[in-house]
Amino acid sequence: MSMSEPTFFVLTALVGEPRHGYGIVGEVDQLSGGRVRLKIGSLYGILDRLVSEGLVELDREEAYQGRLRRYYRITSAGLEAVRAEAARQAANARAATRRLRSINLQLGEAS
Amino acid sequence: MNTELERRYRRLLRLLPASYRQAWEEDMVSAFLHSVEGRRSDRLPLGERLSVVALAVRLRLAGQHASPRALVWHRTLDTFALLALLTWALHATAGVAMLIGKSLWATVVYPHVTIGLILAWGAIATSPLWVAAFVCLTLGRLIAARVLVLLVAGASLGLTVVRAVLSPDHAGALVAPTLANLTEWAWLTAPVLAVLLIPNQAPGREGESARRRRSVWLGAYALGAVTLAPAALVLAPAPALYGFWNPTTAMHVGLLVGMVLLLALVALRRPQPHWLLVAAAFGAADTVAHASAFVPAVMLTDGPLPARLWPWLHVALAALALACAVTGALALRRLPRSVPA
Repeated sequence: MSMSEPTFFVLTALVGEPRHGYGIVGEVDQLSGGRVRLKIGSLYGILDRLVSEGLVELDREEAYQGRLRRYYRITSAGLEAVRAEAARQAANARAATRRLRSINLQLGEAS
Repeated sequence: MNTELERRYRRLLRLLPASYRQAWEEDMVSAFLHSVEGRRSDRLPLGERLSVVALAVRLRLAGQHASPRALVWHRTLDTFALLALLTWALHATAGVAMLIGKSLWATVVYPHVTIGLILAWGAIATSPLWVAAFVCLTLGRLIAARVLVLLVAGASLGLTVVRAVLSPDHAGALVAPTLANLTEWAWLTAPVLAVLLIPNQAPGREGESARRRRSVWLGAYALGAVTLAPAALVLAPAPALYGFWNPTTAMHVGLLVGMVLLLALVALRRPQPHWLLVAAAFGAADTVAHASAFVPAVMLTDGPLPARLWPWLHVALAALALACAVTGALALRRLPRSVPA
C-alpha cells in the first residue's frame, strides 16, 4: 500500500541522521521544496503511528533550554519502507515519462 | 521563553487522549516552542490549533489511544454504513433484475419518453454505483467509497428533481415535509453521512480481521443477490407475488431475526454493543416510517392474512428496537470512557 506524502517525507528526513521534532519539520520543508509544511500536531500524529509500526524509534534525549528534547531515528524496517515507496514512485514517474515522450514524438511527426 | 504561549498550547493539548499526552506532550511542547521562537504574539497559530484538533478527533475515534467506548461508537458507524450500503446495493440489484424481468415479460412497454422510463434509466444508471460503493467500503477503499456515495446521492437528488419537474403529481415530493418524505431522505443521507464520517485509520481494516470482514460482507451481498434477483426477474410482472419476497421484505425479516439473535446473545451475557446500536437505529427508522400506519393497520380485522400480519411485524420491530437500544446503551455504559494513562 502506498504511503501519504507527509509520511514519506518524515521517513526520508530521518534517513542518515537522527533528528528532533522541529528538526524533522525543517528537513521536510527543505526536501519537499516548501510544498509540505508540517504542523506540530500533524507531525506527532505521523510519528506516533511510525513508532507503533516499528519504522521509527527513539534515538536519545538531550537537554535544550532547560527541556529534554527527543531525537528519533529510522529503523531498518523504516529504511525498507522508504526504499519500497521510492521505487514505487520512480516506477510511476518512468511510466508517465514514457507516455509523455511517445505523445511528444507523435506530435512532432504530425507537425 | 513565551510562558503564556506554552500555557495555551498545553491547554490545547488537553484535547488529546491522556495516554497519548503522557507519551508525547513534553516533546510536542518543546517542538512547538522551538517553532515559534522569536514570535511576539501570545495567540496560538490557527494551523497549529487545527492540527491538534484533527489529531484529537482521529485518536479518539480510532487507533491504540481510542477508549473502548469510542471504539464501540466507531464500530457502530462502520457497521451502520456497511449495512445501509448493503441494503441499497441489494435494492439496486433487485431493481435492475425487476426492470429486466418486466422487459422480458413485455408487460411494461414504454412507447415514448415517459417519467417511468426516465426513472427506470435512472435506476439502472445509479444501481452499479451503490454496489460499487458497498464493495469499495468492504475492501477498505474509503476515498473511492466516499466519492461513489456522493455521486449516487447526487444522482438520486437529480432524479427526484426531474420527477418533480416533469410530473405535477410529484412536484410536492421535493418540498413537502411529510413523514414519508423525511424518512426517504433520511434513508438516502444517513449512509452517505456515515461513510463520510468514518475515520481513515480504523481497527479491523488490515490483516486477518480485514480478510474475514471482506468475506462476511461480500458473502452477505452474494447471498442476498442470489435469493432476491431471480425472484425479482421472475415475479416482476406479478406485483402480488413479488410483494412476498423483495428487498424490503428481506430487510424486515433479516432485521427481525438479527434483533432476536442479538438479544439472545445479551441473555447469554455476550452483548455486542455496536450491533445492538446499529439494529436499534434501523428499527427506529422503520418505526418512524410506519408509525402513522400502526393504529389503523393493527385495528384491521378483515382482509388477507399477510396484510393483517404486516403491521404486527412493524410493532414487533419497534419493540425489539427499543430493547436493543436499552441493552446496547447499558453495555456501552459498562465500558471505560478513556484509556488509562
